Amino acid sequence: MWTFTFRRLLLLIPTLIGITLITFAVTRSIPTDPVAATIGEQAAEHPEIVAVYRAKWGLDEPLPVQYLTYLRNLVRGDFGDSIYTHRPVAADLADYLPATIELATVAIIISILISLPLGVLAARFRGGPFDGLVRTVTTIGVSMPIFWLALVAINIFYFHLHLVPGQGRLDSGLAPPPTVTGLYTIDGLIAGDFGLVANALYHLALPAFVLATWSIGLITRVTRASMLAVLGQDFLRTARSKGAREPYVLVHHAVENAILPVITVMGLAFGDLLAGSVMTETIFGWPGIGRYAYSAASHADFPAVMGVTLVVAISYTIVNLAVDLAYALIDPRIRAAMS
Amino acid sequence: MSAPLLEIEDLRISVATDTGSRPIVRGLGLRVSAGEVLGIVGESGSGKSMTALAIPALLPPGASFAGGSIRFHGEELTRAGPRRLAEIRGLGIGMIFQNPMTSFNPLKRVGAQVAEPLLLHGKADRRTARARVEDIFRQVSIPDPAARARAYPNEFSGGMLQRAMIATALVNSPELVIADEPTTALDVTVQAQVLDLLGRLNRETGAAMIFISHDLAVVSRICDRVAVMYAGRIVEQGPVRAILDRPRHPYSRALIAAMPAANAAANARLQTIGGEPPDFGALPSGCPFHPRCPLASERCRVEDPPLVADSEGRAVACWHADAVPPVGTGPVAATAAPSDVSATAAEPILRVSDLVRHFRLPAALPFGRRREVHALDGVSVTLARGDTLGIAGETGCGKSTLARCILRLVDTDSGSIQFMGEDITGIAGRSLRAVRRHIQPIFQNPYAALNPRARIEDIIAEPLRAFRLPAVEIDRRIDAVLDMVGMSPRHRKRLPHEFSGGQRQRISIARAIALRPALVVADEPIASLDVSIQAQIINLFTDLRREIGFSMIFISHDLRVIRHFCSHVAVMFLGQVVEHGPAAEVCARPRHPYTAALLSAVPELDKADGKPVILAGEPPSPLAPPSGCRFRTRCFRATERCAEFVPPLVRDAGGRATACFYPLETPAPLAAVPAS
Repeated sequence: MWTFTFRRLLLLIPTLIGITLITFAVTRSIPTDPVAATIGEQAAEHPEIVAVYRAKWGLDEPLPVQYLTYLRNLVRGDFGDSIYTHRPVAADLADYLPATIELATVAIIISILISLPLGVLAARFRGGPFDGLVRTVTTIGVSMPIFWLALVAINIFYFHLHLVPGQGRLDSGLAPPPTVTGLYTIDGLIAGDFGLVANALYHLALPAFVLATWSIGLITRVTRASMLAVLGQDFLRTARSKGAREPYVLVHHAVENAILPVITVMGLAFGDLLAGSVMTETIFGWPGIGRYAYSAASHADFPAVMGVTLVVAISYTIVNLAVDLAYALIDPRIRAAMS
Repeated sequence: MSAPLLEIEDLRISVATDTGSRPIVRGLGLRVSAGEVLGIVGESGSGKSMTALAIPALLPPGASFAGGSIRFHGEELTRAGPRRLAEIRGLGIGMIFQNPMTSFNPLKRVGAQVAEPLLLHGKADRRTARARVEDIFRQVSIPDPAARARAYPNEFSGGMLQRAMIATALVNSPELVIADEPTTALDVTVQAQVLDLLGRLNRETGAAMIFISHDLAVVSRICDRVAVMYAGRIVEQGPVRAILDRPRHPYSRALIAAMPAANAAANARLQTIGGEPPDFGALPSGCPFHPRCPLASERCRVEDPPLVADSEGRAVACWHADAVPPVGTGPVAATAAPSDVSATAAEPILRVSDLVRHFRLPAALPFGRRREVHALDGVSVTLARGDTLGIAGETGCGKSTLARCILRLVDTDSGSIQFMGEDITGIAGRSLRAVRRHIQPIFQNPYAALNPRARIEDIIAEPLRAFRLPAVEIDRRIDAVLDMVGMSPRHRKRLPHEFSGGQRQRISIARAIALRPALVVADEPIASLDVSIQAQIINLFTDLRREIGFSMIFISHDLRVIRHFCSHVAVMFLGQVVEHGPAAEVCARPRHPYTAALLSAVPELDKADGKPVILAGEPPSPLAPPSGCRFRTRCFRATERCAEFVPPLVRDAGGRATACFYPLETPAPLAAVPAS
């Protein structure tokens, strides 16, 4: 198991180099001139001003040299300076990324807690009214546009029912806890400020639920399909022949065998939540990486775009690694194939 | 006579189909007394497995109980609720299923799964269960019980896992064990081990057993009584010996006659049952066997005969039971078979020399170690023109790889294949295509071998079109070959799914012979067919060879069939030929211990009393073959020499070759000539 983990970590190196190459190439092939975008059209008409900026950013060097410089800076934790915010991209990411991670994590936890039982039970009572209900609701969940759902949710729960707070990660009077992880819930726990943790969760609840609707639909459907495949397996009949009753068969034999494909989808869904929450973040005023990416892209802020892309790609890779490790942990056949 | 342990009366089971509910078990009655072993034999669709599963109420979805009574210890099981059934399952009744590889949860340790019946029935706590599992592992001869209990199913071989399955069924000492085709998924030598084990456990524990099988010979090895099922009913039942010696139902008689017997003349026609097992959706009127029965009369077409018991403890459901002729005589006379033209002089049509093929497995991980499967390690065989060469061996011995190498479907690492005097080992392109015209394959699974979307005429025409035969000729040949394989040319426009397994295999054969090949390579062509259909296909091969005269390579795990059908045999073990020679001689007087064990392991009707040679241990892995002689780890004659040196395949003057330092029957001077 340790060898496997180590080898998979080694494999991260070429993956990361590939990711940086692609982000670098894509950003440099965009026709927008970053200098013009930064200094404005009037200043861009003065070649000497442009030349100063080009030299400052190393844009005059040959591309491979630019790439190597970029890579060397990355290793030092230097993602460059944002053209738009005029701050180091790394500092921006440190501000915005934890908000997104916190939101996505709470959303995926909600999805898993809801989807797994729904999917398992829908498969168990296949064709019945419960199954029909689950299938209908999950179809709606998967097909509902998230911005519409977010607006409806805000309208109902905030304006009418006053059940949830307004925008932001905390009530406006509260100061964030001392930064350790950047996740307010965790940092609040570390600081021992449980009121603050509760407030952070209060603010997380609605956006996380809205964000989770899509993955709830997806994971429920995959769980149901995977369970249906397992429910026909011979070893469940074996378990019954030993004197096991249905709930035992389901819990002790069926679910663990159905979980592998579900884990893959959970990983993909979590990656998507990390990368694709622009809409939710905008509507809920959530200061996350989605909004940051959106503003970076609209201002041709290429160091920021590259930084976000890199961070998202790395997150995907890490989630993938976690999925692979989970596979090996659950399935002895995969462990055997690796040793 | 004591009260029976299990009593089934008028059992009816229906299966839901697209066109409504169809009966698959139609009024079945049987009794099992304490300690007794009852065999239930029948072809696919006869309802034997449904009967077995109905007893502990484990029918699959779609099948449902439709009437009758099942009493276990006098208790009516068909009316028991889920709670009561769960109390009986695994405690009073233990189950053994067909495929051990799929019958275990792949994610749980085997020991934990074997212990489940103990824990579920409160017979042990976790700690005492562990000790009990190790005990039962010892009883079913699983070596190193403590370590094996901690292993996962994927770390077990099929045979070992079936022992663990048996251990699971027996761990609570049930009074009745139901075994549904428990050895069908296993290799013959492993099957012999498991049958031996089941017989011993029956004597030791006194548990009664219901043993379901399609193979009458397997049943005859272990059972006291046998019930023969046909179309959802028992057609004959009684003591095993009595039924084998003097069957009273035409169907039981035909099943016995269809098996190639040890003493029958080689290549004689097998007695077959005409037609196909009935489709349970559309049973014939009257006796369901009447369309296939040589004795059928008007009464059989109208009235279904009841199962009538006689004074000797036998029962038969046939209007003409007294007219059933003894086995060995009968309406189908043994016709003279084509004698092989070869004998000695003929130029070999195929000469395979020193063929090596290793498959490198993809590494499980980047930078991981890549392992090699030694599929073929220096295989040499020859086939004379007009002969049939049987290739026998168990799973993983390389027999299918050899077939694919000869067909040039996979490449070889080294060695040579000469076909009609030409080296075809490395040829490609145009010259390979030219050779393909003369070598045609037939595969095991007729369901997978035919394109489900292609019409029969297109399937047969494909090779003909590939070689640009004129359209008129193609058209003529499609009718001709369909006729030859016993199918009507009217079937030309149909799709494969409209045919049964046996008919599909006939279509595959028609496709193979359409080009009039010189050599047909058949890889387990009858293994997935019912017993009565197997005999039909073997007879078809015999007839076709007489009419068209192709040479044939016939791959099979079943030495009974090879002995019957083939002029020569090569026995393979772990990528090597261990014995090669005329089939009749090799099977009558095997020299290699493995051949002897294989022959002895094959269940036969007429040697049910003989004590089989049972090989110890497990087949070694082709990933890491043993040093020296590869068979030595399972051999009862192995010495240190066998571990140190590889025995060469030594050919004698009579055309027999053996790769063993200690052959069983030393023939006249052993010529130390290496095999070609």
